[in-house]
Amino acid sequence: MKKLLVMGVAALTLTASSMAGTLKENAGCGLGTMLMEDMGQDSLLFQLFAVTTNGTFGNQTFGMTSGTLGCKKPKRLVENKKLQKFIAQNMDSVAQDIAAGNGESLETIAELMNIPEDKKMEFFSTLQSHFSEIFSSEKVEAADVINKIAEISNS
Amino acid sequence: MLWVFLFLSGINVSYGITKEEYIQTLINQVEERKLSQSLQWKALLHYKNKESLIDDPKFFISKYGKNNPELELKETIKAFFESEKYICKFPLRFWWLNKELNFDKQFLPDYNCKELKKFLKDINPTKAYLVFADAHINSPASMFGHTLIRIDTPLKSKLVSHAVNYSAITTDTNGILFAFKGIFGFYKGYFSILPYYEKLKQYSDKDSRDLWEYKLNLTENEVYRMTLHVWELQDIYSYYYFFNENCSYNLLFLIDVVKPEYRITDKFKYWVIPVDTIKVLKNKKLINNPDYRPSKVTKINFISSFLNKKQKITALKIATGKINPNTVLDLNIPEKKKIYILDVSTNYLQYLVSKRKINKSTYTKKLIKILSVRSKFKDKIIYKYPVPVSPEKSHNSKRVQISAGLLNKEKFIEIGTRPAYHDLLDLDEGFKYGSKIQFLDLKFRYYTDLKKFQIQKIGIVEITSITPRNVFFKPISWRVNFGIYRRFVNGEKQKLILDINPGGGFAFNFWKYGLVYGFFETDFSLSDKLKRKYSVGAGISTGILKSVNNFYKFHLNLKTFDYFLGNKNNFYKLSFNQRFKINLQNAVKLEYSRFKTYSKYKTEAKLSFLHYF
Repeated sequence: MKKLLVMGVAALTLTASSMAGTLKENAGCGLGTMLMEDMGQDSLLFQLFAVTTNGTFGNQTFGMTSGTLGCKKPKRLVENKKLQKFIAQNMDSVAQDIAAGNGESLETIAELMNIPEDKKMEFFSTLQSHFSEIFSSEKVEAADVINKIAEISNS
Repeated sequence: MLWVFLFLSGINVSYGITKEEYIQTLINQVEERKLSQSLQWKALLHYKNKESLIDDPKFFISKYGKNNPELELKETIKAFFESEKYICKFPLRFWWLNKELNFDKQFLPDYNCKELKKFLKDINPTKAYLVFADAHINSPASMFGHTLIRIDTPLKSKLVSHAVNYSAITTDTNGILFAFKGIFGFYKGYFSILPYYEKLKQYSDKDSRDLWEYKLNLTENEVYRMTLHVWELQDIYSYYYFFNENCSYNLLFLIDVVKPEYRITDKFKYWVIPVDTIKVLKNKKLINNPDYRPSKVTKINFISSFLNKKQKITALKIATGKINPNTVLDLNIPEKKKIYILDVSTNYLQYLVSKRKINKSTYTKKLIKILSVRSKFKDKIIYKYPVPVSPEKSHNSKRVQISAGLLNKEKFIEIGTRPAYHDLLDLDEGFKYGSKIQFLDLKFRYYTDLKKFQIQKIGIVEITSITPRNVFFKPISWRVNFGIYRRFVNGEKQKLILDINPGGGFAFNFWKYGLVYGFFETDFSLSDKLKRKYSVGAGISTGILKSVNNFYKFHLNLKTFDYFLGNKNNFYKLSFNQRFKINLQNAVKLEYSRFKTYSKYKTEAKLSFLHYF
């Protein structure tokens, strides 16, 4: 619950921009999409008192965001904004699923790309075998991933 | 999108009167039909006894709207005919009033509601789920759980659904201030809406909480109208009260507005425990059995259960970078086990970075290394995580107890009550094993031969978290009791003392459904009945907590304490407590303890009947 308070503090700093209608949900454009700002309340005493707030401190975010603010734009699948946003904000689970050849994030990508049901398994296997090209380095960004996925699925 | 045109339905045209006269006819109708007293209007404005629970003045059109449902209704109608701004700001109020009064299109302003349309297009509401975030294993603070509502699009993927959440906003960092303000309504609570995957990153991954997803039995139109109400609540605050106007309670208004006849929010009076809101919805047949979504920690523990100790350590070392993931390829073990090792190390690596135990740069390098080895395995694995008993199937949170017992030779009868929540020997189903959190555990005793009535205990707050350590997770178990307890102040007399008793230690799994623990504890007591008025001590408490089967659970504990300041004493206690289940809401408990205090031996035995409601 100490972490959720932390979220609340982070949220407040983000709230100012959220009032204007857009919010930078992703701390970056590459891997590490699960990381949120940390203010470091870690004491046991804090934990203890947090029982009365029961983890209800969170992001005060309303309305839709562009989701890929400040990130490199892909050259392919440019119209598919939903796909871009999803990959940018879920890079880590996308990487995990592509490496495993299955998973919920991979299924989501297939759905957003309108991959037909009978072609899905093949699509997943192909992406898996090209993992190291798609995630070419730890600095890889969402746009690179999308470009590569588009390139591979078209060839 | 189709539903947007519903706005236009039922609008008719009349001739020959002015707008003001027309509006007056509507006001007359409202009065005649007592619409401001209807369940739907009360639900829309969150009125309880003629006062709205919403505190933000922006939510009300009338200056007196918060305390005057009738005035608010009349002003709302007038506002709709004045400008499209109010129609777009309160689209569900508009939908309902239009349905009831058949607004004359001729007098209504033209409305477009561009932002609302964009919002509805993005959310694309079709189905709704109530999602319950379970307790995190070493965080009794999260033990009450948390609820949010997920609104699904027509897509199969749930990740791109949206989560509606009510929470308090604060910048406070002081724990006591935090607790005090959260209880007494000093924080503003807001509704927020985020992609569901963001909530999964927060609850499932970072906080390691299992999620239970209950589909709400609502029509698509009802889900659409619920979404309109979420829009009405955007940027609107109400003061957050931990006990009764908390996350779970406020979410229920979203259901109230589409099912006002059920009056769900009326079912709660003094306090609202999240799991109780789920039980109420189940009683009304608004939800069925949930889908289970295990947290990252649950996944790591399950997948690693297929590995032996050496393999677990290999996975650990891969995650911490001590071993190159490539070495897995050369191990002389089945392919599946190699995959499990890599999956455990990937998940554990993510756990480490989310807890800030490693930095982002280290994390990304290691992740790519592990995953590129993982991608060489063509076997597709789908993990079938065992599903625990779901939270709504847990024992009810209030408990009464009636007991008979003996303290040395004195017979007594004891009654107890406890409003919330769960004890170590209460029935396990639906709760985290080894956790206890109790508020106001009261016990009263009557000694039958002595004809003496005594308050035995006023347990203000009692929290215990016995969490096992393993190769991957090394939590510190902890506990604290705070309250007024009857204790021996010398060899003969028992008096009430104010006591706080914090402790911490280690615990390990003991066979299945068993825990063995060792705590170092401290104790601070105050009483004017103590010779020296206070007593400070430290000691060790060790024990075994084990569920033998579905019905029988025991707790064996040995405690030794040295009170070295104030009223000095050496205290030793051996207790053996057993619980026998009758059914989900009833149990029998047999407690026995033998203790030595102020050099005198005492024995206590007690048989209790427990009922949960």
